[in-house]
Amino acid sequence: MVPLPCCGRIIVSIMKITIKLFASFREAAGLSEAAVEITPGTTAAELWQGLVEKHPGLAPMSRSAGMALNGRYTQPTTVLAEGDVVAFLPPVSGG
Amino acid sequence: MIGQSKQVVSGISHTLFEVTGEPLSVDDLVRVVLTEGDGAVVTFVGTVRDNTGGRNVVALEYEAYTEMAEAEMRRIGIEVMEKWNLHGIAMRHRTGKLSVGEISVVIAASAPHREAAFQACSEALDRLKETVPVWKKEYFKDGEVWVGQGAG
Repeated sequence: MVPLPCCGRIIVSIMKITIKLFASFREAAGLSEAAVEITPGTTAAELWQGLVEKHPGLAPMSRSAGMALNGRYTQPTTVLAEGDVVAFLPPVSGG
Repeated sequence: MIGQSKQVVSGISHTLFEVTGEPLSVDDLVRVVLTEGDGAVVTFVGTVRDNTGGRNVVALEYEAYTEMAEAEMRRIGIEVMEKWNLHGIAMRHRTGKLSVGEISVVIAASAPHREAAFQACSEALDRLKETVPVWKKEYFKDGEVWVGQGAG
């Protein structure tokens, strides 16, 4: 969504983003990808909290959740933007 | 025959970073990294072991965040390449369900002398296991578990 300039302020009420879940997170929530709407100012951590409320099976995994924004590791405090792809990552175990 | 990199990233030839569902070939990666100035190519081949801590494993399943895993391998690979003055480096990780003995990951590093190639290959693997978004599920006769994911 393109921000609409109005009356000297930027008004954006809803932003669309994409969530990706993997491995144990994907199984616990029963989804691998979802389009969600958030309000401006929402952080990655707040997005995770909202996800946990909707999918309580994720709650025990909160402490281990890594976060990626558009394919790069990011901090829980990162503020999200329109069109972002946010991935929640369990501890990796490749190799 | 000296191979050409299948994928030239940022102008860096003899590199390849890929996640694939297809079986892995060590030779393919050696061909990617080998140049005429090399005296050594060191490869690491990760395989599916039949046990974990004494418990019988019948299969492993790998899942990846493919785009990010490839970007993360590329970041690691290029850093390791610069640190050890390699001529080439390639990292390829398999996804899907693998049987005991199958190859899950291959890393190849080429350099004028063996020491740099050994060190680089080892370091690239250590870093892959730390940060590349790939996950492993162990299948036992009587159940399955995501490795290192606690409640999962």
